[in-house]
Amino acid sequence: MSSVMVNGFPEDVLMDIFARLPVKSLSQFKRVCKSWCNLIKDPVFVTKYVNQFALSNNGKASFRIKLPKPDDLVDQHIEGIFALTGLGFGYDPESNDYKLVRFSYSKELEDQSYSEVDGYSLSTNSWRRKDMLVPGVVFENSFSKAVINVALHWRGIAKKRGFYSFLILSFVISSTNYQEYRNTFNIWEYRNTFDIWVMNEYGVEESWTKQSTVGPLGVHSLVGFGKNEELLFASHSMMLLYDLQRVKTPHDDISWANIIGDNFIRCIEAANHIESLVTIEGPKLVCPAHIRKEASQVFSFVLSSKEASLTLLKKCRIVIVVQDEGLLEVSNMN
Amino acid sequence: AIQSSRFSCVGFPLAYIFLACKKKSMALKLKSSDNKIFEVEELVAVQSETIKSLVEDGCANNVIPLPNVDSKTLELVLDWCKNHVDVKLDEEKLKEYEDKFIEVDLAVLYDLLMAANYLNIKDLLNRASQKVADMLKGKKPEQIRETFNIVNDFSPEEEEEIRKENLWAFEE
Repeated sequence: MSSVMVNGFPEDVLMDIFARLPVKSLSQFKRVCKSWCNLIKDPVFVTKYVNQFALSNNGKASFRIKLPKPDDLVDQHIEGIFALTGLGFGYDPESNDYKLVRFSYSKELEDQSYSEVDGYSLSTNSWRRKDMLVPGVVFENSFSKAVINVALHWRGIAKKRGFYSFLILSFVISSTNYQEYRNTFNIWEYRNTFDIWVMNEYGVEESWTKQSTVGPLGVHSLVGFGKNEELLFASHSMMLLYDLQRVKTPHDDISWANIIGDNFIRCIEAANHIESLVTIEGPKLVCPAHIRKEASQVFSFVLSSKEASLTLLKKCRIVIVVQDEGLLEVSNMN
Repeated sequence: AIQSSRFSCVGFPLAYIFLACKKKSMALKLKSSDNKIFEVEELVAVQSETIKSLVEDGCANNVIPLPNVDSKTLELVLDWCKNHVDVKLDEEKLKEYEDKFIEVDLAVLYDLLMAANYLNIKDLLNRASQKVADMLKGKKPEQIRETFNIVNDFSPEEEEEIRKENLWAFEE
């Protein structure tokens, strides 16, 4: 039996109850009393909590952080509005810090496109230039699609010997390590369906295996995976849930949800995120009502907590989906 | 065909012996904190992992004392266990039973939760924890303190700081 009691409940019982509540409730409950507050902040509880939700994508808590302009430090290499930029946010266990990583197009060198990588550190509130040019460019302006093994991942393109190939660019948050993962499949072929490929062993290109083909569905991007093998897709105005386990019964495997009415708003990007119980500390966290006016300077993104990264370490599989017109989506799957 | 018919011939008496053996060890005596003795079938009682390990260690020959569970709660808990012995029970009926079972006031729910935790009955613990979570959900800190009789031990400054830190959660 647990010897520690919190308001009459054994600590482990109360933890189990708390684990069933949404982040929003828990954040409010920190105010109830000191012992509740300590329990909710307890790393043991946070780990337990994140582990159960890590891949189920509940809720919609997001953090808004005002960043200093990186221009003064790094902008000389970025060429106009066509610079393709991938952003990613994650916890760096080595420096116990949260970092925003920017992966942006830099220049052409010897028939190859190069990007440069720089990062914003939350604890120092500053951008740090990583003097590094890496081959490859993100495919579109986007946020990292997955945090796996403390690395951020984007869909990318690389040009070699005059040919373009699609690949996944990955960048380890804590170091200056850059890798790329190609799949061997020819993705230039026009396809009306989604092929699901799994990298069974993280980082081993030979382990890419084709799992199945889904579609045609009439949607353009994959948002994420559910725990029970559901695929969540988005089109400009709709979300679509595709149940891989029920594919054999037609019309039963797809459910639609209207997200933004019939407006075809092209700039909407559906993103996948995990609620975090971890509060970002520091003066950079600005009151949301404040910053809406300054939207142009503000990146809005979601915290990938330390715990989430640790969870994903154990489940190191990434999945890509080959899509119409040769687009790629990358996401994690448990 | 010969093989299978021979098998079924010996199968019957074997099963019979097996059942007979099983029957022998079926009654267990449990003693509540207020010294009431409950006689229950082993199959019912061993849904409690705590009791199960006592039985397996051969410590269940006499009365098993349960000093943390009073008779009122133990009666409820055993009723739950009886209704969960037969796994083949109609799923809908079981759900109906569970829903009704857990509709109790907070004091009883607390006793059930503590008993389920002590006796280590997974499905009851799960159900009772979920019920408490449902009661907490959507309540303001002030309401929680009132419902669960919790004293606010923060100073006004400390409370304000936590409120600020979690401002987004208090947005409607």
